[in-house]
Amino acid sequence: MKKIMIGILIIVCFLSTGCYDYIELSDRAIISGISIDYKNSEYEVVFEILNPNSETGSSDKEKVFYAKGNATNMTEAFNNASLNIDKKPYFAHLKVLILSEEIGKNHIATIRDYFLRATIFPNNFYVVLAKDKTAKEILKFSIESEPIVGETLINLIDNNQYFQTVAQKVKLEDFIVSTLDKRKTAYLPVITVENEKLAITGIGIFNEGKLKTLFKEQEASVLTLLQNENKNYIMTNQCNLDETLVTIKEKEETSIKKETKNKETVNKYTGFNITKSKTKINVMEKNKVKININLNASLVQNDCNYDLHKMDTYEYLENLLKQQLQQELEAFFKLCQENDVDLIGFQKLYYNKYRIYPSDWKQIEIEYDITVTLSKTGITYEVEE
Amino acid sequence: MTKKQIFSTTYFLSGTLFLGFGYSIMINVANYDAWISAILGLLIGCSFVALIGYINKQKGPDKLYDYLKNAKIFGFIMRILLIIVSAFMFILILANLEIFTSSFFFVHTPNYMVALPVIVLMIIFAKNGLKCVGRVAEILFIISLPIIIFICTAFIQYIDLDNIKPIMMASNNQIALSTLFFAIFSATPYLLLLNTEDDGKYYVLGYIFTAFVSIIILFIIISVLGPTLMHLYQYPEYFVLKKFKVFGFLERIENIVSIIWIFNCIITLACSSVMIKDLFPKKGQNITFPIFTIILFLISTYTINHSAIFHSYSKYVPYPLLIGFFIVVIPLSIYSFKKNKEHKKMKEN
Repeated sequence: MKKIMIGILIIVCFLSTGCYDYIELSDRAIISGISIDYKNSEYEVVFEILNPNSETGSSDKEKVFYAKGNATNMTEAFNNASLNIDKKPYFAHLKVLILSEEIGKNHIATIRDYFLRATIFPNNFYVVLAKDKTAKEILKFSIESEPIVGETLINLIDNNQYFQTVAQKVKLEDFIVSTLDKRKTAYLPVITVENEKLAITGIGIFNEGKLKTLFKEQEASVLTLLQNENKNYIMTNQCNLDETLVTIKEKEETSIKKETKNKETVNKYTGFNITKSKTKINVMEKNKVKININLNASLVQNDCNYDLHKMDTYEYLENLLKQQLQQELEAFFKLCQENDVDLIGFQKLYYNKYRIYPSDWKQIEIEYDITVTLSKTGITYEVEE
Repeated sequence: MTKKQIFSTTYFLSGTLFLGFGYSIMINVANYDAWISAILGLLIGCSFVALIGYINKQKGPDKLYDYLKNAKIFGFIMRILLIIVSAFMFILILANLEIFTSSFFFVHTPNYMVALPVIVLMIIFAKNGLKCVGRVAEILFIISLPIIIFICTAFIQYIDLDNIKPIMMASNNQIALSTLFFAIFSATPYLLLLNTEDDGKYYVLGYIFTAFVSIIILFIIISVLGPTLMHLYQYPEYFVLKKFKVFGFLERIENIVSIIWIFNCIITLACSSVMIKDLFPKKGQNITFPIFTIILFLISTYTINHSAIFHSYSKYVPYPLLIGFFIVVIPLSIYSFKKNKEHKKMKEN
């Protein structure tokens, strides 16, 4: 009996190596990006496939290749695209899914259902929306320095997070949840071609699973600020044309602005960099919401020649920033209300507090409580001409 | 079995029925308030387990077969009922194990090929008895516990409390039903321990620990997946693991981590095999038991291949479990109580 057991164990050792069904890397079609368009009542699916045989320095055409499939339904479109590859499609390294505007407007439910059911896809890739171009054109828009569009878009979204955050990192799962949850509003970053390069130009907002409207960079940036996702919000303020000398009247008549030699202030700005922001949104009463924002800012441009040696200057600038931000927020919420898109999730906050949905969230009154702290340390006082 | 082995076995038994059934059924009933009903269910489950512990205590070191032997018809009926309940759990867990493994691990392997080695393993377990099961459980516990701790700590960063707000939105009936389901799912497998020589002293302690782990996992599922996604999956406990990303690079380890569910299934299947075998008439046991196990295997494979049966099966599974639990526990408790009284009287005389 013992000998039989040992024999079985030895056989098991050879049979359980786990290598019997391995696939060589060169036999896999590693897909880094997918685009989906809808044309002539058909879904058009294009895969961007990495070429593992390409060498360093080879042209972009050699680094990636494409496979296209058309069909009246998603399953067949994906299948047809796979049939055009002589390798086994491998989606584990999928970076980005590009959807056309038409898909966003009318076919999100189909896309959602397909990706949710198919187990071949990972759930951590980004979804973007193509604007002015088809999704296929965006996927195929590779330039010599950035041959892999899947990679380029990821870098674009990631790096954008560090400079005037416009891009929203929207992963497939988050997007699906937002389209299904009636308390949330779904949105996707919008990608277009600007100056022969791919660029993020705002966000596409969805309502009830359909693309409703597009918001530009400024609104997208305000949204990230409200979501505490903005790492570098930028605000600029044009110098006042009428006055060359600003004084604070309530206190002593102190000049906080140095007299300019020439009075030309057109195209001159004060620039601020919001280095830290914390937003809190609270439902106060049944029809009132309070938005608390705490900002830490630093002055990065002083064309207006403010005297940074005086403490009053900071107080003035802080008020200036506060007013400007409030105006930006008001414009943002007005736009949201006009388009009937609850981007901040008022309905969810309201539901969490009162256990019912508001009858009309657009009637909610918003109170702002903005605190701005301008950095007073480590600044450059003046740059002499 | 030693105290450690008993504790390890109860740890695996308690969590088994949550895979594929427990969590998803509770979520469907009480929505995102399911975690509250789980806490309440823990209290009810404690009393269920205490009842089983009481029967075991009265039974003493006797085997269940011998204990019921003197009860003639009652003993025979109880044995049949216990075999039915154990067989039901066996079919349920084997079918679930087959679906789980063939869905996520061996996608191209036929269901019966997944189950066949398990059947062989169960026959070996049944031959070696509960002591062998206890020893295996003790080893698997050492592997399983760090994984559970790892999951719980790694998921703290993903918990979104907004997903559980506002609390108590489910109706009282929904909460009550979900509470009962939690108690049943966590306590019913303890029936399989009626056959041990243990006095049931540490059952409640073991139960509290394992039920607490189940509550944490349920809370993670709800708070991480959110009210929308948690309803979509048959195995939300597996899909929540897909979100796993530790230190920004350790990801896609759901298949490794979910091995703990397979441990649960294996130990519970082993306990039910031993239970069924021990309740069979001793004559010809070596032939009747393997035949019975193969029949159970065929039933479970049949139900999976006819998904409509499995669907209704998984939807209504708490009810037969509930009936099975009380139909066994109540008469046995009364029998134990009476026997204990008689024993005391005899002692006094």
